[in-house]
Amino acid sequence: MARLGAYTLAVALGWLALLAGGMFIPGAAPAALVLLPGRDFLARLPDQARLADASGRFTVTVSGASAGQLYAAGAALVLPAGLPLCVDPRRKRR
Amino acid sequence: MRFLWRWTRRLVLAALLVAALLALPVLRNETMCRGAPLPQDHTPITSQTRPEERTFTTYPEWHIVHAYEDYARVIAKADPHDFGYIRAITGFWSSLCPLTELADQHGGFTAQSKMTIYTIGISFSAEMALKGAYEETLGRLATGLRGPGHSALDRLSAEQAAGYAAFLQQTPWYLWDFDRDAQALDAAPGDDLRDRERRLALGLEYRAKAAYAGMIAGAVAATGQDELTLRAVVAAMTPEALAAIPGVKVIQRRPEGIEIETPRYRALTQILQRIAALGGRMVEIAGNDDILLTAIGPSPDYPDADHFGAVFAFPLQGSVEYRHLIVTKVPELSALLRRLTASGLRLEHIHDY
Repeated sequence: MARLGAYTLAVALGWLALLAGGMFIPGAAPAALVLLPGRDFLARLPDQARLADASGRFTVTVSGASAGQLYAAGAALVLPAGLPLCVDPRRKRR
Repeated sequence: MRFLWRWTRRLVLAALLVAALLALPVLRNETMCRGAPLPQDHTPITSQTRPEERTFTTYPEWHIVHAYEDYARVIAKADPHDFGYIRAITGFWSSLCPLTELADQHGGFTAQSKMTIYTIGISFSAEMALKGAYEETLGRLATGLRGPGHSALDRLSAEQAAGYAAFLQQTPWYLWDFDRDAQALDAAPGDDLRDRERRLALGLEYRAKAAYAGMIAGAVAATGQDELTLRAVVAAMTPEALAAIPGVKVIQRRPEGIEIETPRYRALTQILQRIAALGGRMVEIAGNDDILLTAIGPSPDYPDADHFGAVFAFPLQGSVEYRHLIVTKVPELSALLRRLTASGLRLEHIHDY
């Protein structure tokens, strides 16, 4: 049971590490999902960054900033967001 | 303290090993699956075009949808450990290789397309690895103690899997109500060991997915949008006959045929089938002259010897049939669709751009 738990944790961490690592490839994703942003995260974002969504309790979505800039602004974890193919085809174009 | 440090170090090493294993198919695809760009001999007729490579790069997402269909089919009759988790993972990455070569030949992958496919591929592989490890060990033990017949929650989870697989045909996964499924497991009657094990294991899975889906849905709503329609040119049909097909809007008459606007995704497959049945011929779709489709048949060998577009074939799980990935020239699409049934195949999906 403990081994299965450790295996689960290792797979989850390995998966997160890979997705987070991919964010350092320039232009890899149109936006970033920031987990656990710091208290003054928005104030420390670079000027060109745009806050796309802040409706989550522990997350914000930001575009126009690199992963390095987001970590420097106080992000705990940066994952890809807004990737093509992941959109809802039923949603009306704004 | 030393105990904690030792286990933390082991966990980090294990996570790095998992990350390396998950990254291996990406490395393989990047190094061994390359295609040389082909000269493009088709000049788009309409001005509203879409990148041709996307017909190939939309398939991997559908592969995952099909894997959930397979899973639902398997657990309707057997148990979750009878599903081939490794087979589902290898099927994804194996089919990606020839599709990458084709995408390279037809305009090339964009960085974002690649990132999307690798992200969903890695996530799918991690999910299958976790689910497979559980179902092959504790899940298998619980079914052994249960005996041969399905328990109440086995039947309920099979219904939930079938509903989820059908939902994915039209809708992104993160919009499925996983919380409702978890609550249904809690509320369902059934209190033997297997039922309690399903309630705990699937309840955890559903609640984890609900939390992740909530984050994804917010991010996508804020960033992602795509066109819902595309333009195509059809020959050998009158504007009146085309306008009578639900969803089709006639735009204008051109020397090459009638320009129409149609919905994309699943609806496009049905419209293209209808045009073929009415004797029409596609001239181009979204400015492109190559397109990928999938068909299901009883044999691993592609039966239509006159057609050379078979790219990949693999067996479905929980079924005796095979899925074929077929590439065809757009002007030959309608004739191919008309020949499919005679070839013993049935059309599954036409992958638009």
